[in-house]
Amino acid sequence: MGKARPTPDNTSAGTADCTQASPMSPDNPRWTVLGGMLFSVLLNAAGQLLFKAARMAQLDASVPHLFLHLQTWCGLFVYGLSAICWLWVLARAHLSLAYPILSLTFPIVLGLSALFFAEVISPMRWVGVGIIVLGVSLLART
Amino acid sequence: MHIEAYGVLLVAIIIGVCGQLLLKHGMSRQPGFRFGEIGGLIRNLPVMAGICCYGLSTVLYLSVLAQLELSLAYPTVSLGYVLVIIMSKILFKEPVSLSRWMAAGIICIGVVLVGFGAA
Repeated sequence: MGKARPTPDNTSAGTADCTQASPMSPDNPRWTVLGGMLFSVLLNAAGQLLFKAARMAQLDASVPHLFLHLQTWCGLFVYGLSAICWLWVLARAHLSLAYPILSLTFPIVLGLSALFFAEVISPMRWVGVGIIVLGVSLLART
Repeated sequence: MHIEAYGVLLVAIIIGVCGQLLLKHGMSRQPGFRFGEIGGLIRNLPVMAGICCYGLSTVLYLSVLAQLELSLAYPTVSLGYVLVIIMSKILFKEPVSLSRWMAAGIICIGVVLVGFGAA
């Protein structure tokens, strides 16, 4: 944190942590790294949904057969994009900060599972996911 | 109960953690990585191995999605965080504070609730 330039957005704990980890150049401000993390999150959730959709479309298919399905490839493509984005993030932030941000994918995927696949999410499951996000966030603060 | 599916899910999680550790190991050699340098990653063996682990983990994960609900399978993947903490300490000698261990415990509690929270 000591190396961070005294700009107003340094006051946010999350963004300040980013600078601590990485050799940031002036053209790579903190919000760019956070933006990269959020982009990774969204791509990840989209990939999950595509995978599940591919699997649901052919419940009895063997794994090799899944690769004949367009949704599987779309899911892999989106996942690949997410991984590339993730590499960019990893070069700039500590794993112990970046990984927790990725946990926002859990509630997003839960909500979308209910929406697209009619999965019934019990209150206990929501609480469980909330606790997971809480635990992962605690990681980021320490 | 799909015991076998749970077993495969666990293996997928472990291989995913190996991938994550390999990616971190590889990328720590390239601080300030830019998208323009992406071709150079081909020569970064740990990164390539990490991507392979990711791929394998994903295929295994796909194979269990038929039996398990997405709202169960995906949160369970967060056990990977706990494994990453343990392995980061062992392999990278990253300092792991008491509160970070507590966070790991909290994540485990969350996963248990998700597992028993079948509607």
